[in-house]
Amino acid sequence: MADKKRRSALERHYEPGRYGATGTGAPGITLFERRGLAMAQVNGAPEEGGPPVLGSVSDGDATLLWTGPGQWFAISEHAGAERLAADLEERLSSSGATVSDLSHARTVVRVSGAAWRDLLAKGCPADIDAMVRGECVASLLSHFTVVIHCVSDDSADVYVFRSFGASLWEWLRGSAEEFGYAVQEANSG
Amino acid sequence: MSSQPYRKLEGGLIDRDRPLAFHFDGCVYTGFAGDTLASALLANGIRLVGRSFKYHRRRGIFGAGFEEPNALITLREGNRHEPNLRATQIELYDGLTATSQNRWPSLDFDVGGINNLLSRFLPAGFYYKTFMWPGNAWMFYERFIRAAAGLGRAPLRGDPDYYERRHAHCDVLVVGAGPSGLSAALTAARSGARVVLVDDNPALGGSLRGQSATIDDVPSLAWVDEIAGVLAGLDNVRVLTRSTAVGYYDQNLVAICERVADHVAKPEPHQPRQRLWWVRAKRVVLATGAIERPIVFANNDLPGVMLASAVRTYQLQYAVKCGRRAVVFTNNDSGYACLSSLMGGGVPVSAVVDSRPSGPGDAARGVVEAAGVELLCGHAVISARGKKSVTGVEVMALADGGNRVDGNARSIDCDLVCVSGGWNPTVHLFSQSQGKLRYDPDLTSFLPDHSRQAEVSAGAARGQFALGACLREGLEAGAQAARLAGFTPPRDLRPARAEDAPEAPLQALWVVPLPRGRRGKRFVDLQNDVTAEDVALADREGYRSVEHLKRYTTLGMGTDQGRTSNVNGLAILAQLQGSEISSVGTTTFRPPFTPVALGAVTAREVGADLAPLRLSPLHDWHARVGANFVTVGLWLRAQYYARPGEGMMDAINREVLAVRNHVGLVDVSTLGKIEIQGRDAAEFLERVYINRWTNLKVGRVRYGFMLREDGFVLDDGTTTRIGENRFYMTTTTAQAGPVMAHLEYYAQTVWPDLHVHFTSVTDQWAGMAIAGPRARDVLAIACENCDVGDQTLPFMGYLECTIAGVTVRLFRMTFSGEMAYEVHTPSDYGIRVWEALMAAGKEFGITPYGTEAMSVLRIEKGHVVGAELDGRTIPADFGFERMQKKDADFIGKRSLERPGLAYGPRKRIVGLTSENGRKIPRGAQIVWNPTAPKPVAMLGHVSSTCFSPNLGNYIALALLEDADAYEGKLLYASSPLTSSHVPVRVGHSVFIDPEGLRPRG
Repeated sequence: MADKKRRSALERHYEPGRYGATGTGAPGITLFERRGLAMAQVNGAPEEGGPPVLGSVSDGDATLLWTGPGQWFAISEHAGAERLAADLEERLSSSGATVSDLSHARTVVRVSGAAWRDLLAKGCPADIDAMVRGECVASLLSHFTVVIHCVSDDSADVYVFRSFGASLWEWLRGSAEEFGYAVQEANSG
Repeated sequence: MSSQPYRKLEGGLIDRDRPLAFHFDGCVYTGFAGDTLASALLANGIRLVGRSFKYHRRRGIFGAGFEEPNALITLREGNRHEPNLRATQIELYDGLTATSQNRWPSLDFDVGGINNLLSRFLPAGFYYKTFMWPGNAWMFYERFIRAAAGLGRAPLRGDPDYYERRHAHCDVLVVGAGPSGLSAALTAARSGARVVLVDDNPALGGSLRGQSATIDDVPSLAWVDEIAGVLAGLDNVRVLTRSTAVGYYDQNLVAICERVADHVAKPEPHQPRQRLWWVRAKRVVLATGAIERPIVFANNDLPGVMLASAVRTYQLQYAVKCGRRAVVFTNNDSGYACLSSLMGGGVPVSAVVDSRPSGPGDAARGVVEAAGVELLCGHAVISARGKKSVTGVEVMALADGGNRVDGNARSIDCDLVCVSGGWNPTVHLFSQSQGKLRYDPDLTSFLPDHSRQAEVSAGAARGQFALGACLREGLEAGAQAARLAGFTPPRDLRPARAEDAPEAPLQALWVVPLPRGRRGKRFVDLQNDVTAEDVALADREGYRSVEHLKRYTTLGMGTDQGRTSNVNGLAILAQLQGSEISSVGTTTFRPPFTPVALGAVTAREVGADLAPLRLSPLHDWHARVGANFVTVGLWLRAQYYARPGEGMMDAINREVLAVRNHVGLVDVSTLGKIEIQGRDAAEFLERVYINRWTNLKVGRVRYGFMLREDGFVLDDGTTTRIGENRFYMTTTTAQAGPVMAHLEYYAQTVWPDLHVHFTSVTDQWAGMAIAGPRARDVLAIACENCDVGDQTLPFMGYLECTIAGVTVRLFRMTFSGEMAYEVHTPSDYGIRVWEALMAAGKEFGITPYGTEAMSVLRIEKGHVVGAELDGRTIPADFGFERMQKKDADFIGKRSLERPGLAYGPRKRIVGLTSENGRKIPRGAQIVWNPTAPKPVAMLGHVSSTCFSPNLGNYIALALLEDADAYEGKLLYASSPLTSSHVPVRVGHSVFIDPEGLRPRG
């Protein structure tokens, strides 16, 4: 549900193309921004029905990340921003959980390619090499507080506070240079 | 190959088909791929490579690896120049350029060599002695000592290369890829553990690369290649070569410096020069080997005196002859191992001097006899002869168990002395891990004793020097580490096999006594020019503890951290004190094991990347119109918007006047914003704020103070009741993080029974304040289907409406003192809404204003910020005592009842106006009379200062004692720092609209 009025924090920094070391074959890293997501934080989440510790659950439409004890982070590509928070609130209110809409509060970059673990492990002290699909970790990436969600064997989503989005984007680009990297059209993944 | 006169025609692990040209001190030489700079210099017959630190004595290559104390050189030129690198560890590449250090004008003729002649006047601790006597000696000597200090020179220009960092985790980290390390890594890997194997050298094998041995009936290097092949094929193994484990920290965190592109002239495009790995390991196996130590004798620093193991490595690994005729001097059987490599490599040996009266074991004796070399048992080399390098040695018989030499000195010609005084396990990383060392009198060295972390030492690092024992220990250590990390080693484990010949025991000999009446410099620490006499002097002068000895003489300092000198120095001290080495003790080793470039430590965090930048959702708009930016914490904020031809002050004054007279728009997105939800949210606010909150109606905004437990103000800000159980709090930009932590702390630990949750929504909302007499007119146009009149949106009211098709939150509150509203909208819509407000305000002359104008407006209005809320002030200091509720508790309430806070005297906020039309200095102290005799009583201080275009004068806010008494009086704002003293008139802190009528408009 693309909301044409939304403007990404990376707008002025985003230029699709091929950069860094030019080896043979595919670039080691591909970056693109996932724009227009609906996101929300659930506090005081019930113990049942949610993602496992350091993991996630997905029902096709929405994904819930475990980001701390009693804390989930919800993402949906399809629901409108206010819809996601409202839906969660309706479903969870009897449990005492509360929901805050954070659809505009994060910049989300998908990092993929053969070297994605090498790239994120440059800045993240968590065990990136051992992450498997569905796992997520709230940690540091260089200077930045991030949530890293492993979405497949060869890709992960990085969530960062929107105000740091452009700064993290530049860090990712610089750190990806040695592997050679491509920037794809936003949401083209 | 006359260009390499000391190169053997065959053998070695070098590639004779790949000659490499290199420069040393301006001359061109040739070496081969596989050489180090040290081996290539030796192959070319270069024996003099540097001048010593203090006496500028001639020094040659002494070792073959990281133990090297002498051969420190400067590598590369220009802004890639790097000083103090060990020639023994620099891989040769084509076009390499190296220069020697600590000499002028040239290595061969060095003016500083005069220090050697004056050495009687430069004793140990000379530097410290100049502090003490005579009176001003240090002032005089300082110039010369400072100029002479250090070896290489730091580069002056920026490093053109970049460095990286990499975090990694593993089950078993094995440090060292010699026989023990390879066995350990292979065993752990076959158990299924995630293994990291790290080695300093470009290829695996460790000590096996510099010796000839047989493992499992094949040459040891064939065995190494096989294991390396197996490890390379396993995807649970990561092998890091050219990588030095430099630091061992808590919780098994090991720092490893990988030299990614140090073996080439410059890195490939986009390739880092070095990468610092931070490896967190469940278990660590330290297979770091051992370092041979010398025996100290007179003139033992002459080029040509080398460690026996280094000579063997040069002969076998690099096919380099270290001389034309050798003498071997040893106190143990391992010293004999270099014999066959010398004889086999075309270097005749004149004699083997063994300090043990009974001589070597059978195997070693067999080697000497087979070679037909003279064996002198119970003898010692008392001195090396030669001016520029070794031309011979003097040998005498030892008596009194090595405490005295006896008989006639015999002279033996040679140009190479191979010395072996036994081995010291490389315990540096173990010591860094906080493990305790133990002195073993049989091995005469310090061994790992109690581990403090999840690690184990194996092989030579634990004092097991025989090859077969290393292979067994490595296997056991690898299996144990894997098991302790939760893996099951395979059942068919079998250690690789190697024959260990029985050896005769070593007999300690640390320093060879001088014959009666003979003088001579006997160097214990080659890198720091510390002699046996210096150790004795330190002892005489009372520096009897090892820690004092180290600091006073510099023994064991420097880039080699005393690798070849520590134990000898301790032994000499113990001898002098008539005690045991075990009771003298040893100093502890600290990271880094070898020096690490600062670039590798900082990685990418240099220059503009030193800190991250936070950008407002409206940033792109500010940038597009050419705003000037200022950093505020991590934020980059629009400071002012200069028009063409306008200076900074012009722009600020224009912006301020526009707000007071018309309308302005400012970006306040950086304010901290916290969403507070839950059944007990109101009750929670009641406890953290000093004022009343449970009675706040939905749709209303309230201003309040939050205190710390000690009663001082933590932050001020507004909170809005969005819904019955939903509040929206704003904090100051600087205190956003601390306030969030404060709230979470109390909710989680003090009142877990309250149902209340917090979410930082700072990044969710773009915030803009629209202020000025026409603010409401602008909103009336911009807001769709919404009445913003006093009835629906009174002062301190809140409502939700629509601007430019998107939802916004409207708050009627003021920071500037004008009629003002804050408009908050989801961040991605920020610029859209800002532009809609600008368009709607066009007819009223709406003016964007920056942080400077915002600051002037609030100073004119007497509003406080961080400059006043500086952690030393309470609400009453600003006239807010009546805000404090009397009937209910809140954080900090009891502290406010302390006499000092409750009864004063306390400074209170006042306004100051300049009396002479000059700027009131920031941070100035307020005094009666700046020219009065010192000390001048300080009555208060200036907290915020600015030029007020509305008053046409410089004004300031200040905190002042006896504020009421000084009302209307003339005082001075005095800033000795800037030598400015400005007469100021004390007045009320609210300069504009003191009745507060404007915001209610």
